[in-house]
Amino acid sequence: MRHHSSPLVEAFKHAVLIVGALIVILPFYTMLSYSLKSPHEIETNTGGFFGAQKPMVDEYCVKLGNSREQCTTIPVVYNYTQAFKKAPLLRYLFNGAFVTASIFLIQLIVAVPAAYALSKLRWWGRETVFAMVLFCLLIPVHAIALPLYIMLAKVGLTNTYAALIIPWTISVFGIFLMRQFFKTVPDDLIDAARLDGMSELSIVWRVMLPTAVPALMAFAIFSVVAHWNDYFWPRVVITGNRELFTPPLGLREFRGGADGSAWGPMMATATIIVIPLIAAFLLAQKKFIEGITLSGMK
Amino acid sequence: MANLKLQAITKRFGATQALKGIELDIRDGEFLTLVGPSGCGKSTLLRIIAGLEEQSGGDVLIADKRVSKVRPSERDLAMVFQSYALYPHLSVFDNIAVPLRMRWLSTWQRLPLAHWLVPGTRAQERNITGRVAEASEILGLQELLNRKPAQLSGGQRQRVAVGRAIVRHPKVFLFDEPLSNLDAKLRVHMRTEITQLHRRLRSTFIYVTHDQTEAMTMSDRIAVMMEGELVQVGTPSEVYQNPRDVRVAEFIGSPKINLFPGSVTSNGNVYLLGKETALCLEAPLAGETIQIGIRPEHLCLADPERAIFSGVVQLIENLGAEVFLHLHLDGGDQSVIVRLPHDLAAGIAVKHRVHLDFPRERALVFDLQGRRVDTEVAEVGPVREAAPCG
Ligand SMILES: Nc1ncnc2c1ncn2[C@@H]1O[C@H](COP(=O)(O)OP(=O)(O)O)[C@@H](O)[C@H]1O
Ligand SMILES: [Mg+2]
Repeated sequence: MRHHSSPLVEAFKHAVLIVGALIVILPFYTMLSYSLKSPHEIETNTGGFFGAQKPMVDEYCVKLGNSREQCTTIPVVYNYTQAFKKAPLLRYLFNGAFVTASIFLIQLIVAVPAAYALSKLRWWGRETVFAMVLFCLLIPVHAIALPLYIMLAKVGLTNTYAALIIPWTISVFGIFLMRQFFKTVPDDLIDAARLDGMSELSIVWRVMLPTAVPALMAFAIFSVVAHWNDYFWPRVVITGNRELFTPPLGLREFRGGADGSAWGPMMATATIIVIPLIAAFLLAQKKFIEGITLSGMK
Repeated sequence: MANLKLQAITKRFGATQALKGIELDIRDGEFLTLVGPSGCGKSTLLRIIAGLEEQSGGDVLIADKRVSKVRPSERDLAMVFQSYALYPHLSVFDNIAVPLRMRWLSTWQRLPLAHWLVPGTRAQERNITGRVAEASEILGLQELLNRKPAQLSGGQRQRVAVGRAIVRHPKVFLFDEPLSNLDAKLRVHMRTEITQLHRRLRSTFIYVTHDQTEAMTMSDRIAVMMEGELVQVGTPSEVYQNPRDVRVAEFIGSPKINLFPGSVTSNGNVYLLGKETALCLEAPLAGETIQIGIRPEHLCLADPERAIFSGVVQLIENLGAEVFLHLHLDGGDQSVIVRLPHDLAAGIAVKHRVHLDFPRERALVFDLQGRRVDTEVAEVGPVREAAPCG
């Protein structure tokens, strides 16, 4: 039976959780709210969450020689159209999706067989290799960024998709996570597959991978979130070519110039960037639960 | 179908010697059971036969061909695992079809979408469907073909595992304790199903179990394993009535055989608990302590003056048709189990004193090392006549 603590303790627990949730949500709240409001409302911090949505005049548009009527819109439309106009946001989103998906796919192609070998095959030196995997988990990315950059520069790969993808293709975290999960798959299942005529690679892709759907989802969330949101590495290796910008790099386009930062469009861009992640997470969450029930590992 | 020979199979795991030179000939179409206590090396031996484990020494011959270099999937045998080992993400149909798909379809034909483009796929899939239907009919799985393993009961999963084994008509079937995860009633039922399956398929079955009842009821022959060695191989009744080792006598038979300390005189006369028995050894074994085994059903009630020993009833187990009496013998801490037909045990209650005797030719004598020693019954003698239940 579950132990029921006193109402006071329960109230305290909830209070702590609510405060925690607020701290996490507050930046998102601000982002969403700014993406809806006019520059004046943002500066003066008025207008509540939605802003008054009073029609406003886009001064830049007027400067280009259009009439004031043509340049009058409401703030939410202004912010979101600016997000797409001022920078090639669709291009950035495509780059982000392409890079993130490539990284995740190649990570899987490397991590799943490696995890299988580390968990289910007996070979000389296995423990040493696993120890090295654990050791690599301790190396922070920023520590090896410079050597990595130099290596990529030496082979002339900076300012390419390859520079964005290659350094992340071996995920020791992925290997570790999948290995821990594969350890729980019964050996009998693998032996049965061998008797059924599967090669070791077939076992990896046809037996281990489908049974590991929950672990896969967890890994996917970590990998995709990390690389979709990554600002540091693209900033290092993409130095001029705007065609290759990922969404977080794209955000810089709105950084203040002579006329100050364009907060509204910037936050609109940020909102657009996080939406795919949130959508993907909600989908994955459903799959995650399905994965657990389907595999019969309740 | 094929015969199978094991020649001096040894296996060591680091310091432990799991198998110590197994020699065994299994005939074509035979149902052979490997039985022994848990940890004696049965699974290891089965896995060596299957090719899932490599032996440290010795040879496995299937249909007179050495298979040491042959991969498990090419040895033409199928195995049913204790944990069923079904693919959790595949339906029952697909689970049963996997061994055929892996054998009959090319890599391209197994790809999810491309496969219809390859000529011949449709015909092969039809053959596979036919074979799966045949297997599922034998096992009564027709209604379950679309379910996932998680949606099946233990008995149904067991049947799917057997189905996956029989679809490709292998020469040899290996079963590793397939019934030990089932409840008692289902176990008895599946026992008969597997025996019937053997009769129907006429393939060689090698069946591993730690349950001596399964071994006794299902097999053509039993191979009793202890600590990595085969102690005795024979038909169920041979192994039961004529155990060559005290460990076999103890392991086979339920309730367990009664073992009494005894001794032999220099002229070979056997004494049981210090009493003369009219049994004597065929070969001399002078001055040694021995053990005498008497199965519970071979003990019988006797007149007090003729009985060889007496004891007080501690516990009565009534199984309906028969009754097990648990006795404590007088003058010592020897416990004894007696198996009596229900009617004979009618008047007996706990705390009663009962007097027992046994037909001499039923006694099993073992030497100090536990090996069986042959005995003969003295032709004439007062005690011989005293055995009323020969
Ligand atoms: N992979 C292994 N590594 C080390 N020891 C093992 C391994 N497999 C089995 N053994 C040992 O070999 C002996 C026999 O095991 P096993 O064949 O599983 O017995 P059984 O199936 O009769 O219960 C046991 O002592 C077990 O601990
Ligand atoms: Mg076992």
